[in-house]
Amino acid sequence: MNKSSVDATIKFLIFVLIFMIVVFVFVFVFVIPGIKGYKNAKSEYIVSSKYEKILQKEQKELQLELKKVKKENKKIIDLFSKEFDKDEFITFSKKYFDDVNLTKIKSDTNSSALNIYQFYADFKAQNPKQFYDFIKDLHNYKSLAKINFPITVTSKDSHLQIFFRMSVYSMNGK
Amino acid sequence: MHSFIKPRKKKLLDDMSSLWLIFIGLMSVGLIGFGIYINYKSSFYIKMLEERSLNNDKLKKKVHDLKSDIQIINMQKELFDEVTSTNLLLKESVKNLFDLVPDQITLTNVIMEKDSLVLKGYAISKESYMLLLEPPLKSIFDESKVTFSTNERGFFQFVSKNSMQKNRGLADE
Repeated sequence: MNKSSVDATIKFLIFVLIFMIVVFVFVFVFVIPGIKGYKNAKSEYIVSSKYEKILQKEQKELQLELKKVKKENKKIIDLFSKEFDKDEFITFSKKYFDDVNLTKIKSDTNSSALNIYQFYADFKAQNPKQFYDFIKDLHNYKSLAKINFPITVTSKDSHLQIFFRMSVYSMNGK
Repeated sequence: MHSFIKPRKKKLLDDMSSLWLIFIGLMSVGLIGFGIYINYKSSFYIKMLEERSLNNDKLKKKVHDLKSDIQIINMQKELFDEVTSTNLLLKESVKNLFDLVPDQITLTNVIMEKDSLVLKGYAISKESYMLLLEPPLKSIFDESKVTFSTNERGFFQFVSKNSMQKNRGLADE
């Protein structure tokens, strides 16, 4: 082996080494992290797309269900949507009682936006039937009202004085 | 000294070295290009992912709102059913109570609680109360006590206190 062929071999080996280093550095600095990032981003995107489809399906189902329950319970929703009008209620009550007096005790608003107004109702009736008819027709009234215990009935002269607590329910902005 | 040939400029690199350097340079450019391309694709998916995540958040909120709307309507229905049945039961309780009282007995005051009943009134005699009103009251209530007094017109005034166990109620009868 002469000197020039030895030099050429050494030069070749040096270039091969440089080439390998360059490839190694670029692969580890650019290519591998890039591929990893790409794979992660793509798989997350696919998962997110699948999740979006699940949510869209759920949303459609819920919209249909909401439409159905709204249709089925239209009367009940209307009952809750109206603000309680004390004067209107007194007018309604006067169909059954001679004298009506309604005193607001308090109003509670809980987390589900349900307003509960509580009243003391003091009614003057000729006979108990007026009271039965009043309770019977109460569920046709435009607000939801519940009669609570205690109920006090006192006989005064020729009439009955009926006294009870009443809760009226309505929803906030619904 | 005089030379018969012109001196040639000596190359910095020989042909083989230049070829190697060009090859290494092209390979580097290729790898950097691939890296840039893959990063561009990644950022494209990341951008799409961000948009989709925002969209999914909106969808989640809509789903949550829809669920809560349905829940509210169901709650309203339950409350309506409960109120309606309670009112009707209460009406029946009051009606049953007044039906229970015979003509020989007059009530002046009734206090009706969920698990107790106080009746005040008068009867022609103690016996008429004992025979006509006490038995049905005792059949409904766990405890029934009565006290009598006589009024100026000679009628027997009574105060009847009736109660039942806490887990039972008048509206349950």
